[in-house]
Amino acid sequence: MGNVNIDFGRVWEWMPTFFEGTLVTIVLSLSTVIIGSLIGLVVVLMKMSNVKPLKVIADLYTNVVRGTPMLLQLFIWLYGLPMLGISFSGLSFLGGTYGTREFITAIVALAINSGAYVSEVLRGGLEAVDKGQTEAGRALGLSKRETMFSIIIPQAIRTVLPGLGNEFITMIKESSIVSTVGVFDVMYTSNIVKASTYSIFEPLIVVGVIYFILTYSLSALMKNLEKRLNTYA
Amino acid sequence: MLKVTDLRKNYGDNEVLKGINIEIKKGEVIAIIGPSGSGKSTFLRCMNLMETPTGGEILFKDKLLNDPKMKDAEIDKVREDIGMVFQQFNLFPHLTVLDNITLAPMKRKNLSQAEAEEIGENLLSKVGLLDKKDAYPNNLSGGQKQRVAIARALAMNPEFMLFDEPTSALDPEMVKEVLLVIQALVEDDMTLAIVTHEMNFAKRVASRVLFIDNGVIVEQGTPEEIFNNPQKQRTKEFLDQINY
Repeated sequence: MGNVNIDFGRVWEWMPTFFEGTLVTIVLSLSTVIIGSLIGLVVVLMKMSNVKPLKVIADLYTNVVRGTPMLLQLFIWLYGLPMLGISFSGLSFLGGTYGTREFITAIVALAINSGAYVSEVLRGGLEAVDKGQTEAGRALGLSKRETMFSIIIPQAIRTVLPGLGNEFITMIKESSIVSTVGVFDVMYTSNIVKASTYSIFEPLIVVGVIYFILTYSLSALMKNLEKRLNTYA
Repeated sequence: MLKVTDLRKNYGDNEVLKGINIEIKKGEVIAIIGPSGSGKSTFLRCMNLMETPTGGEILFKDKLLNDPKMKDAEIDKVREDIGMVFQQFNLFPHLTVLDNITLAPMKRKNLSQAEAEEIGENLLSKVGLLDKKDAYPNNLSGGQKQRVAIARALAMNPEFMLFDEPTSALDPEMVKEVLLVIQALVEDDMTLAIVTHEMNFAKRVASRVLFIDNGVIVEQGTPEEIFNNPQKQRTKEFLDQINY
């Protein structure tokens, strides 16, 4: 402890950089969760369909994604698949941060990862709706599809909301791995600041506080939303 | 209206229905009684294909329902004509009472919201719950829920109604209000089949009583015949065991 000199003053002037990185983290995790939810919805419908090949593909996808590290998946999308000719090019009109090949690929990799977890959350929610609801819908003459969209999904939304919130929080934190491939997220800013100020401890604490504020306010928001949706009345 | 021939249903090795034969004519009120596990609910649920029979035939208005070639869309169409009321009500908790009733007519009969709501409100006043139209099901008593469930089934204007123990999940003081609604349907000449433990009700409204045990119709007849003069030993035993 003796010779450590903690001084947040030195990192203060880097606040705009931290905020820029924070914005990148928010954009990254938000787009990941939105795209991931859409993937998850398609996958869960595949899992619940009566078409065997669709089921098999959906199960394989979920198992592979959940059974391998996200960092590995990111590396495969970024460095492995391009060797097979599968790659995403940068979109230069989005600028030097959001338009890079790394950022675009990170969204794809993270969204595909998230989709697997979201599909399980959704499946849990759909299966939690009482079987009698499906029966009542079908007995009235509603088709499988009409029953699903008018009766089951609206009720499942309430059950899956906490799970989706958790997935969002997880993504805010786990998206920090993109800093290893040079995406300028909030985690990456700690490297920049460290290199410029020779402070190691302070930037890490600032980044930690930022992550905590993001996740804590999100979970408070989710709790509030859940409470409001909790009762049918 | 409905003709069932040698209807069979297995769950794995468990044979629940072992060949049921019956013909139900327009305007008939069929009460189905029997011990629990006898197959009476399964039989009822086969009639609108909530359960898929393993053997036999079900003809509804001369159409073979359990034809393997029957498309899902055709089955949906048939179900529009066969209303069903469940023991557990199965109202849609995320919709108001009125929306519970208007959902299917709007989706299946292409009615406008205004048309569907007019039908819904008429039915709600028929079951005495018009003042509850904007309430959510969770704020209703069991008896009120079941009356809404009946109105919901009626909104599709079915030709035939199935009641699967409609009063079994109710507190005793709520049984009567539901039975009165069903009785009003009978007086309006609705054709219906009801699985019930309410023997007095069966006696009063049924045109025919079926006693089912062990997957077969043991005995059938008018309420008078079944309740006052049962021919089969098994029927006598059953009626002696229950208290009504």
